[in-house]
Order: sequence, then C-alpha cells, then structure tokens
Amino acid sequence: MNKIFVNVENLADLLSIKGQYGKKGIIISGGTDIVVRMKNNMIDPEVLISIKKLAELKGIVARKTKVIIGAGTSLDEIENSTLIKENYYPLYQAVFNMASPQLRNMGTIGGNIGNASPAGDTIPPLFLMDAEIILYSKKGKRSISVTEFFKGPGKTVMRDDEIIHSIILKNNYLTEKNSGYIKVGQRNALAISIASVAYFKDKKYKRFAFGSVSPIIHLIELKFGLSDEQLLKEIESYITPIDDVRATKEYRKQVIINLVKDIYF
Amino acid sequence: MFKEVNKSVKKVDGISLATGKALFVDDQNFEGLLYGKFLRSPIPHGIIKSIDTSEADKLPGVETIIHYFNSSHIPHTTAGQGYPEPSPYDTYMFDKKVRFVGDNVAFIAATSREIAEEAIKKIKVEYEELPAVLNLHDAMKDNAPKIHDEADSFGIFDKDKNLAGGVEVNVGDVKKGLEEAEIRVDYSVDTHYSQHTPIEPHICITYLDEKGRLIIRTSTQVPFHVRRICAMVLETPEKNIRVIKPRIGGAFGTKQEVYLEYYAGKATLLTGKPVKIELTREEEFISRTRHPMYVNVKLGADKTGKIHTINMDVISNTGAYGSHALTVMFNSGSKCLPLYKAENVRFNGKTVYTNLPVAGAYRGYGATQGYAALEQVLDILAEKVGKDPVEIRKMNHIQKGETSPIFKALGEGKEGAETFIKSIKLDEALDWGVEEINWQDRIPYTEKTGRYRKGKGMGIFMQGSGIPLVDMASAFIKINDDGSFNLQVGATDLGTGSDTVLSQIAAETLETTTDNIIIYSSDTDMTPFDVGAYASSTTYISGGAVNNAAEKVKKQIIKVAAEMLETHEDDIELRDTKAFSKKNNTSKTFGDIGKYALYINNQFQIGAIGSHISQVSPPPFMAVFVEIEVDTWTGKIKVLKYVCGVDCGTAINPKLAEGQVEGAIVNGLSYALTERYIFNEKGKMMNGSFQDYKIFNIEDLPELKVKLFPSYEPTGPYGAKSVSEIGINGPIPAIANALYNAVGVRAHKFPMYPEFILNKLEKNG
Ligand SMILES: Cc1cc2nc3c(=O)[nH]c(=O)nc-3n(C[C@H](O)[C@H](O)[C@H](O)COP(=O)(O)OP(=O)(O)OC[C@H]3O[C@@H](n4cnc5c(N)ncnc54)[C@H](O)[C@@H]3O)c2cc1C
Repeated sequence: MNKIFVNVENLADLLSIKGQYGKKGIIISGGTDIVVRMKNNMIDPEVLISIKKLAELKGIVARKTKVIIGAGTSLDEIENSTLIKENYYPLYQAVFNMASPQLRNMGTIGGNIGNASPAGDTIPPLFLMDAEIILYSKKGKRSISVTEFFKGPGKTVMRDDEIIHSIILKNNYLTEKNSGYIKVGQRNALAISIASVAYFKDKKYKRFAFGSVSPIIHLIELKFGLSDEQLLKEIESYITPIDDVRATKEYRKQVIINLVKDIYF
Repeated sequence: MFKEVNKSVKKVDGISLATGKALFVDDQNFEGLLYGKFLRSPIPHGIIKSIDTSEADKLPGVETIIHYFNSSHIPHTTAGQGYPEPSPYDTYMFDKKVRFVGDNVAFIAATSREIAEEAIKKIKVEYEELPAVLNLHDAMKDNAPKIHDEADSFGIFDKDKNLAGGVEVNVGDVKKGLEEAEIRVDYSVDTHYSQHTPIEPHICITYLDEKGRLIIRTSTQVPFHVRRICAMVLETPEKNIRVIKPRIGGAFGTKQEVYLEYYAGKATLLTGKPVKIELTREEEFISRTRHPMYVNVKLGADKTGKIHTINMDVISNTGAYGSHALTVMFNSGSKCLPLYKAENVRFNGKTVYTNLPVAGAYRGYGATQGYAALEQVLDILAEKVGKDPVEIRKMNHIQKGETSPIFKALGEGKEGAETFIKSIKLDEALDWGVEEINWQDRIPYTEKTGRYRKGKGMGIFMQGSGIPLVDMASAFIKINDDGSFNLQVGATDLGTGSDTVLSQIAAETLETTTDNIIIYSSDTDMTPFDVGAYASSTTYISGGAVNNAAEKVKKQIIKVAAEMLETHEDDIELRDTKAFSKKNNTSKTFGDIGKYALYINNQFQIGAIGSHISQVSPPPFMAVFVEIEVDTWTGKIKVLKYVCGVDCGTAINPKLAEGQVEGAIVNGLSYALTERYIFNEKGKMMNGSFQDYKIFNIEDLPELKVKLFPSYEPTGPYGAKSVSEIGINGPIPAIANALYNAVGVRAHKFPMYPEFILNKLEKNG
C-alpha cells in the first residue's frame, strides 16, 4: 500500500488536510509515541501528517492570569520555562521526570495529551490547573475542559477532523511550596509511571489527581479534617488500578494511599 | 619493575571502535544474503504432531524451511565448553517435542526479513499439549510431567525426576557439626531469572568460500567450540568449517552458547547462499538466561562467631535444556564455600528442568546466586553473636597459605584441583572500605524513623581464574622485517580488552612496546586453539600461553643476536626492542635481527607457538560496602554509594580492570534491584523489551568507588589473576544487608523492587 507523509507548514493546510483524510490522517508531532507503536505493529497509518514545522503550534505565552501552551511545544521547552516552574510547579515536575533528555527534545505536550494514556505524566497536573484543551477544525474552534476531554485509555472527545491547538492553564498559584507531582516508576529515568500523584494544598481544601490508577483521571477535592478511614474511602472511590507488567493493582493502590496520606496529614 | 604490563596503555582496538571502523558481524555485506527466522512454540510443553509448510513454501523468496520432519536429530549440548562437555546432550536442532514457550519449531531462510516473517505465519503446526513444569520447586515432585523422556539424549542425571544434574560432597561431619553448634543460622533465598542484555544481540552470518567450505562469521565467545559443535550437528568434519569472530558488542556469558550457527550453516549448505540470523531483543530475552536458584545455607558456629560447619543445599533451574546445568550449580558451591574456613562442609546440589527459558553461562556463573544467601548468612551470624559484620568475616575468611577441601572436591562437573591461596589482599580492601563508607557511623534499624531510612551493608567475595587442568590456550608469535611481531591467539576479545592485555604481556616478555605487537585473534583457520573467553580465564590462561610463546621467541632472538654480535647467548640482553652485547658494548635492533634471520644468514623464521594450562585456579578477592536509602512509602531502594575493593593480582591494564569491575557492579545492581522476568500462566515472558525489563541506566547509578588492591599471584602471568566476573557477586547480598540495617527486613527473593519491599514493610507493620 502507498503510504503518504505530509509535512504541513501552516494551520489552514493542517485543518484542511486533516478534514480531508479524517480518521485515516494521523498526526505526528514528536513521534515518540506513534513511531514506537508503528514499530510494534500496533498501528499502520495510511497518512501521516507531520506538524513538526508548524510554528503556530509552538511556544508558551502568558495572558493575565492564564498561560497558553501550544500543542507542538516540546517537553524540553516546558521544562526550561521559568513561567511554568514558578506558577505551575506540578507540570514542571512532571515534565522534568519524563523519559530522557533526547525524548524531551522530541516529545510534545500535545502528543502526551493526544496519546491519552492514563500514565501520561503531563495529564494529572493539568487537572489541578482546570486546564482547557483548545481544539481546531475547519468548522471552527472549541474549548474542552481537561476533566471532560479524556474518555478512556487512548480515547478522547476529539473528532476525526480535529487537532489539538493549545492548552490553557489557569490557577497560576501552584508553587513549589503548595503543590507537586510525585511519580513512582521502575527506575529513575526512561520509566513509565506505575502510579503518580499531582497535588495542591490550600487552607480550605486539597486537590489531587492520580495517574496510572484508573482508566480516566479524576480531579479529587478533599476537605480538611477527614479521618484516616474517610480518607481511605475517598481515595478508593476514585481508583481502579489494574495489574500489568509494571506492577500489581495492590501495589498501585498502596502507593497512592501512602503518598496521599503523607500529603494530607 | 614492569615496563608494558601494569600500565593503562590505550586499548589496541580503541580508535577503530571509537571511529566506527572496526567491523562487527553485521558490518559486512553479502551478495544474495538470506534472512533466517524461527517459528517458535506458543506452548510450554507438547508434542509436534505435524508441520504443514505448503502455504509458506509457495511464498516467492522463501528458500528453505527446516524442521523436525526434514532434518537429522543429533543429540548435543549448546554449551560452548571443552570437549567432552560437562553438560547433558539433551538438545536437538529440532525435536518432536517443544519444551518452553519460544522453543524452536522451524527455521526459515528467505530473501528478506519480511518474507521470512510472512512465511512463519503461514506454517501450520499441530501440537498435542502436555502439562508443564513452571516452577523449580515443582520439578522433582512425583507426579511432575517428564520434560526429557526422549530415548536418544544422554548425560542427564535422572530423567524421571527432571534432574539435569546432581552432586553431593561431604567434608567432616556436617550433621554432627550442626547439632553440636552453639550458634546456628538457617537461611534460604530464591534468586531470579535475568538476561545478559548485550547491546549487540546474538548474530551470525554463514557462507561458502570459493572451495565450498562453510564460513561462520559469528558473535561468539567460543570460536573453536562453535566449529566443533557445528561439525557435529551438521555431520561434517571440522576441516570443512572456519569460524571467524569479528568485533563483538558484549556477551557476558550468553555467547558461550552455540545455537544459532548451525541453523544458518544448515541453510547455507542447503541453498549455497549466505544466511544471516540476528535475534530480536524479544528473542534475546528467551535465548539464554541466568540460572534461577533456590539456595539454603545452614551454618554452625561457636559463641565467638567462629564458623565450624557449613551446609549448602542448592536447586538450580536450567529451564528446558541443560546448558551449563551441572557446572553453574557446582560453581555456586565451589566459588563460595572455600571463602570461609570450616571443618565440616557439605554441598548438595541439584539442577532441575522446567518448561521455562533455557539458562546458560552468565557472568558470576552460580557464585552470584550462592553469595546471595551466604553473605546474608554471615550478617545474621554476626548479629547473633553480637559482632561487627566486618569482624566476623575477618576472623573466618581463608588466609594466605591455606586451602579448602572444596577446591579439590568440586570442579567443573567433576573433581577440582587442590589450591593453596598464594595471594590475597582482602583485609586491606576491607580496611579501606570501612573508611570509605564511614562504617563506624552505622546504627541499627531500630534507631531509625521517618519516610526515608538509610542503611549500610557489606560482603566479601571470591571467584576463580580459569578452569584448572581443563582450559587450554595457545598463542603464536613471529617476527617481521622491522622487528615488529605478529601475535595470533585463539583467545576471544568480547569488548573486554583481552587483545590489549595479551599484547601487553607479549611486549613485556619480548622487551618491546605494545604498539610493536600486531594482534589477530579468534579465527579457527588462522589462530591456534583457545577454549575461548569464559570462566575469567583469558588474562590468566591465555596470558600464560602468550608469555610462553614469547619466552621461546625471545630465546631465538638472543641466539640470532649472539651470532650477529659475535658473542655468547649469555652475554646478550634484550631491552627497548634491541639486543645488547654487554661485553662488546654493541647492539642490534629487533629490525636488524628480523632482517638477518629472514634474508642474510642461516635464514629461518623467528617464531614459536606456546600453550598453557593451569594446575590451579587462584581466586581474586573482593570487599564491598554499600549505603542505600529506602523510601518506606513506595518501597523504593536508592543506592547512594557503592564501594568496592578488588584483589585481582597484578592488573595487566589497571584501567581496563577497573572497567570490568565497574561494569560488573552496574550489571549486578540492576540484577539486584530492577531486572525481572514476568511470566504468564504458560511460562511465556511478558516483558521482553527494554521498555518493560529495566536495566540500570546512567541516572540510576550511585557514587561508585572502585579500587584495586594488587597482590602478586606466582602462577599467573606477571602476577595476574582474574577480574571480569567477581564484581557482579556484590550487589545482591551487600544491598540486602543494607536493607536489613535500614528497615529490619531481610530479602530472600529478588529483585528487591519497590513492590516486594513495600509488601514486606507492610507485613512488618
Ligand atoms: C523511551 C520512552 C520513554 C517515555 N517516557 C515517558 C514518560 O516518562 N512519561 C510520559 O508521559 N510519556 C513517556 N513517553 C511517551 C511520549 O514520549 C510522550 O507521550 C510524548 O509527550 C509524546 O509526544 P510526541 O509529540 O512525541 O507524540 P506523537 O508520538 O507525535 O503523538 C502521540 C499521539 O498524539 C497525537 N497528536 C500529537 N499531536 C497532536 C495534535 N496537535 N493534535 C491532535 N493529535 C495529536 C498523535 O496523532 C498520536 O496519536 C515515553 C516514550 C518513550 C519512547
């Protein structure tokens, strides 16, 4: 079969080509997820649409109380942004611990979101930021809350003619003092998360989002003063971990409980 | 004073490797190359009823398909050991039975990899599945399925009990010794599967030369064993086969196996075309592995901590075939037990078959597994008698001039060789380690609290240097017109640097410089015999052969020089690539001497062959100290500092020796902490990729301190012993001891990965 590789250089072209091919046209950004899946014969795309050269999708800009990150922004750029580090600390921490320097140079935040893995490291922090995912298509633009965006492992609300344009972050008060992202992997680098916790602590409540322990990530807000038992019940209602080659469900659950207790109490 | 040895000269192949000029197996192009692929068994145990290749045969590009019903069935072992191999002949190119998920069912050679893969899918195989043994503890049960019930295999210890090998040796009276002991320790561990993960997987290319001889270009540790085993399986004499080993991308024991070459060779003989087989990483994981072992140690001591009795029971899992089955198990005793003096010693070892991936040789070779138990037991003893772990070892370890009856009792699948310790700098290494790790600051786990808890642990170790009375190496040296020398050795450089080390030894003996030696190694047509690179033997055994050949050449040079300088041979002294007459104060360069002998008068080729075997296998010794931090919330162990002092005799090339130790430590750290096989209910490995099988990477490394403590081993070339394996023995027990010191938990199963540790911590409350 003849395979097509398209290198788009402006947004209008991208939207029109994506519109034309729909489901068959697969976007490749950094390629660090998709190439691996192609190599493992998990997918065999007919049309690959590369957005690597699309400057419009790259960059981090501040707008009053918000920050907009282009979907094509590399993880490395996010890691090195003081704007992110000072105001959205959990996202910085998540990116800092992802993969390896080479992969962070290639991989993008749009790719991490587009891949929609429950182990995607940038995703739990976005929940703390009430992030919005901006989708574009030939028909126009729409904005979806991160809490609505994911529908299961590898599944999102994105239509076949849509692309991720950017991510809007709110709550620009997530600092090193009041928030963080803890990842448990099999070793220090180049390891997919076994379980992870993004958290924010405030005077009134605490917010959590867990990675790798449920098909869909939830934003969890806990009031102060819960007992040990109540806390346990709350956590358990949000997590449905599975066994896989990286860890058992029991371990995933135990680690989440230990980490949350440490943060909560 | 040494001139060329005990110096970190540049690796002789360093520049060519660094500039990408050195050729590996896959770096040569062959016209009309065929790609070989295996159809592998999807079931752990069963009988092949039929194989239908009709659909695959029709695929254009498929050149040959070999399987049980169209090949001959020669029982052999894939273990690349000296002849006759101390491993059972229980393996066939193809058998009518399959014995683990991944066992070879058919071999396809086709004009492209894609076609070969397509053909695999089109072959129809009918199996009758049999019940399987998926755990070493189940193998010897009465109702266990019999894995090797075939008639033709031989050398199997007890087919009815799934025993590939077994041995029991007794010294003194262990039963009485344990009964009467004031202090007893009884402790068991289960060690785990792991793989060597060389960066270059197993690969070979076979082709016919212009005379129709079969040339095997292969990534091997044992070129001469490849030739012999292929000759046997392909039913052709050795003279029809030439094996060439180019540069190798790592081996660590897994390439001491001969199991790809004869498939490719067979396809080349059938088609007349070159054939390449390269394992994928997933296949590499089920090629050859480390033997998992159950090890129980019972120790009897008096109240002072003096050991009088050691009993070691071992059950080793060799997987579906018995490659190195007997010898790895023997070594778990023979490389561990002599370290401690005791009047009563018993070793009882069994090697069982299971329907799991096949084990083989792997750096450490059983000693690693034995020490996982023994060095924890020493700490348990220390605690029971209230002594420091360092002190308990100092008062019990073997000393210079002493021997252990185990040296003689346990060899390589048979009796060994009596060995007196002539060189040991273990106490010096211990004293240095105590300082480096601040051992005095160590406090018991009972005084530690909080999420992160630190702990310190240690251990001492030994290994061997070659296989005494068995391993033979040889070397050939000749002089050239300009006074340079060709050195031809059968010894096999796997990236270890042996080409460099052997050149240094030749240069030292010949009174010249290393860059004046042109080495060529591992080619069965061109180089003399060597058993190959294993058992930590190359520097010690092959180095001995090089020294031997060089001594002979030196005598010839002196003779010619005496003739040229008109003096007696006694008057000649060799120095700086020259021969001097002390009396006449005259000299000739080696170039003058070479030309004279080749062209001028009484012409002959100055050259000689030297061989070497050793009567003994002198152990290198090692002291290890480690500091770790345990995250009690996640169970994760972080290694903070790793301190390792090694006595390898004279280090011929100190930098390369340190590199061997550092490499072995990193290898051992990931074996201890992250590497594990995850099997499904059929014994299929589920994580056969680097994504899910984690070896240590640079960010996981602790601060590493390696220091050599050179002793002088009189039986070795320039005082050398060995250094390549010993380093891997340290991490498991030293970290396990540190874990206990941190949180009061003992690890008896491995790896010590977060989930396992957290479970243990939860249980302890
Ligand atoms: C060795 C290794 C280690 C890794 N470690 C980690 C880790 O620690 N943590 C982690 O979270 N991930 C990890 N990953 C996964 C991967 O690197 C990240 O998910 C990365 O963010 C993907 O970005 P990318 O640009 O390379 O995605 P791509 O592979 O280009 O795309 C991924 C998916 O997103 C879609 N997509 C990309 N951009 C858009 C867009 N703008 N609009 C719509 N769809 C889009 C693609 O079609 C595809 O389906 C690792 C991968 C490897 C190979």
